[in-house]
Amino acid sequence: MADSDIILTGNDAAQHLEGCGRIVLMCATIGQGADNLIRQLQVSDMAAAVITDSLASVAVEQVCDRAQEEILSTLSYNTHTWRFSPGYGDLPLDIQKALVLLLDAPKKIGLCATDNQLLTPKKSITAFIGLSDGEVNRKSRGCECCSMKDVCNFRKNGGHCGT
Amino acid sequence: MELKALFDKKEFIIFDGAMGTELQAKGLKTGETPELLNLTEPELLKEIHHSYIDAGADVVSANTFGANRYKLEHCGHSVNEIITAGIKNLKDAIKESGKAVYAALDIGPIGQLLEPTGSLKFEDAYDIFREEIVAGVSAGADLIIIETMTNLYELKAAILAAKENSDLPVICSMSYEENRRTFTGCPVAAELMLCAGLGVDAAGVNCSLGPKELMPIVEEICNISKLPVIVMPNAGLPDPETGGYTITADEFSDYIVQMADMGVSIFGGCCGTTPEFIAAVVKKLSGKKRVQRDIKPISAVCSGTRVCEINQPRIIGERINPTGKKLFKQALLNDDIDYILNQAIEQVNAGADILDVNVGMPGIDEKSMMVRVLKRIQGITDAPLQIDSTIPEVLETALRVYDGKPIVNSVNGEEESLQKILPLVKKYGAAVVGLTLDKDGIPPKAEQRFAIAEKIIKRAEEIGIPREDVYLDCLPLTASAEQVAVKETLKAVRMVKERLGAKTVLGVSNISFGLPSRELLNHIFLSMALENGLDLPIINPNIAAMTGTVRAYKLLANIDVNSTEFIAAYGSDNAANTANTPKPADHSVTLEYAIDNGLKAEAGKITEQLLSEQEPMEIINTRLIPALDKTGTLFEQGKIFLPQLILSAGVAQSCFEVIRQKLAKTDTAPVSKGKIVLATVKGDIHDIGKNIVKVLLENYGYTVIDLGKDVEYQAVVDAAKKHKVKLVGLSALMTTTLKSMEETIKLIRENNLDCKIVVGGAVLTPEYAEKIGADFYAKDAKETVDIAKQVIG
Ligand SMILES: [Zn+2]
Repeated sequence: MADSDIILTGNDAAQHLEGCGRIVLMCATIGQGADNLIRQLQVSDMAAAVITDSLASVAVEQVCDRAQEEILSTLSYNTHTWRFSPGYGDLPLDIQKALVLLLDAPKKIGLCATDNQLLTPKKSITAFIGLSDGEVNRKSRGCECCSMKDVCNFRKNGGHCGT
Repeated sequence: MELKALFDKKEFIIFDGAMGTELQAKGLKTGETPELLNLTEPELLKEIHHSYIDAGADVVSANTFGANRYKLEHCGHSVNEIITAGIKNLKDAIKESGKAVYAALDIGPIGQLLEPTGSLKFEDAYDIFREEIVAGVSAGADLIIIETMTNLYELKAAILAAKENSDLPVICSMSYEENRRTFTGCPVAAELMLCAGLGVDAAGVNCSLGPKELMPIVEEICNISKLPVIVMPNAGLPDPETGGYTITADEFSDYIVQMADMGVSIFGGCCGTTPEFIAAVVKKLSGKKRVQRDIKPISAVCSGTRVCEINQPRIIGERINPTGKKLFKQALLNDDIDYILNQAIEQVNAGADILDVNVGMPGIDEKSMMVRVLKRIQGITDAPLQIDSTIPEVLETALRVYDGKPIVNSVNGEEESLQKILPLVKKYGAAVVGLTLDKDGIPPKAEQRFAIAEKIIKRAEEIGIPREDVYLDCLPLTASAEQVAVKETLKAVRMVKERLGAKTVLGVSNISFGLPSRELLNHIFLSMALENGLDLPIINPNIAAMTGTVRAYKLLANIDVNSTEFIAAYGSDNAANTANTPKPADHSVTLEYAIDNGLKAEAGKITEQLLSEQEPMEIINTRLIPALDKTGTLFEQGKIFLPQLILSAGVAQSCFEVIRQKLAKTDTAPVSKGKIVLATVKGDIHDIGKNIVKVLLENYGYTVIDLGKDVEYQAVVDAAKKHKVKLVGLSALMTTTLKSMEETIKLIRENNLDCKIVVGGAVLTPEYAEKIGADFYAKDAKETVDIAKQVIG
């Protein structure tokens, strides 16, 4: 990534960004409140904790959807890729800290990374979207670039998770 | 330097404006480490410092905001080098100017979240700050400013590090959003309370908003802060298109004048401000007088996110205490912290405002248990805590790691107690319970107890603990033995309240010891005590009559205005009533049906009935486990999903609870098929999967020693040894932490422990599990149970 020391290693990010001249780098969190609630529910009502955990994951994706829409509406380009995050395909997680610091996220939205490159609060996302004045790589978002592809129960039964 | 001395010379103290903004203007790129410039571009930094000195700043901050171990990790220079250079650049500039300007060591947030949301331990945060402060002090800083903080716990670590490693003045400032809370939910009042308690010199707010948006927050601070107030706003709000800031130096300084009129005495600028802003502030404040604020003392305590003012009766929950509780003792011996967490949640839900925490019992290390329990409780509730121990060393360790301002339980009139406990209360800025007894025990007469109360207050005030932070306990004696003394206790409460103007606290349930119908006596005595001025009843809030008495008293005494709280608690009352008097179980509902359908209350009721006819183990083996097996099979077949499986497990757990209680009553050894250690490996903070496994294992009758998340390799080995377990379960959710799993397994093997290891986690595969030396790979919680059956039986 120009203007930084961050290198997106592996093949998948490169393939994803084929034909793109610029990227939008973004991050989002739904905050510590969700972590607190889920932690409390894990003690008092595990079933509710599992459901809340899933809902919180969906919520932060929805925040990203909204942010993406807002950001893209202010930019001019021909086509854009879908959101790609560290941990997808062979792009390692170990750039989380650098991404978070580059975006000044600890100060701006209270989003940090641990020494082991995990995002905190937990329900948070860093992602980039490629922008092209021509055509982006249209390969659809599929299981091949999912970090869960080897252990996914949906795949074992011949289906997919739907995202 | 002393801040007071500076205030003797100046009406207002003016800090400099933004450093980052100036550096960006001079070409610093996004993502570059600004503190590195201390070494590479000293002239550039001196130039910026000069511009603020020329603008008229009294104090200038060195370029050390992010100079901590975490942020400088890969920059090739040490914290000491960069801070030393930063202070030197500043001091050189000051010297060149020939002006009387002071050099501040600037300390910003670490950039990583503290436990429990993050993985940075409080003790490590302290160490990171200590390193910065030691470097700044030896480089010759005149004062320390800790700013742009958003987490009270992190602020506390920084203040302690500053106070314990320097004699310099300390000024603190946090960043608030427009809802008057920080990102982590810390309210303004909590910051001010913590800072005043820890002996900080001035406190306030900076960054995140412009002066206009900060106005309501500044007003609140001026109304309640005992300390001088500092405000360093941004230059308005950032423009989302350009990233620039929106207001002019002239507008900015007009707001500053308004704030000065409200009582703020220290100003500076944050993001987007320039020397022009500081010059305008200096100009407009010249000739103005500092406004004296008249602050009424209040009694209050806080957690990291909630302030509890003792301006009306507040309930202290007494249940977290092993005395006389077999299950609680068992939980402590088994490191079963979840048991204690449940007690915390239950009491808060029942209406407790503050929770007493006591984990003292023979056979455990009270100090380390207290730290673990406190950290876990503050992770699941925002109720402030009361730290309860007879050992000063336990109190001190607990006071350090507490996130907020706690109550210490307790000091008494004996010389030894006063000398050991009060200095701790003072150092950590806590409130304290003062027991009106001394070496001769509890005196019979109200006047005698009052005299001890007076002595405790006097001694507290002598070392700087304000009277409003001492809560006096006039100690009810049991009415069965000392019937005449009941009135003396009440009289003492009234005297303390009226003549000393201090808050009062009472452990209410002592009164009925040795008598029948204790609940009846307790709640009548409670209402008598409230009428005599009791502020802090220590009670079991789970007993409806006790909490109800406090709520009813508040309504009748016109404290609960418009009966709001009372109606909220009892208005739509049918829910509360039915919870208190469970319906007899419907006979058509079987245990199996209840487990299948998530009917917790019914299942408990049925288990109670079954216990009158069958042996506990028989119920477990012939009813509970087959029912669980059935839901497990349905889950495997994909016919039900995870939440349903867990719901069933939860119901089974409530059945086990009933059985455990019955066994505890009859003194029978607890039922357990064997112990299993579970841990989410070092570095990993995603533990929901491990917790699901735990619930399921417990429901099959295994005792789980849950080590939590981010667990050191050695801790797993130690627990496996201590509890002589046959099975250790390890979980890791992220690719970055699989390495820790491998290391943990290696250490277990090196110690030749006679145990099997089962591993699981989202990114793990059976092949990888085998490669790193695990005995088993479990794809889900159900499979872990099958493995436990195979290993332990
Ligand atoms: Zn700022």
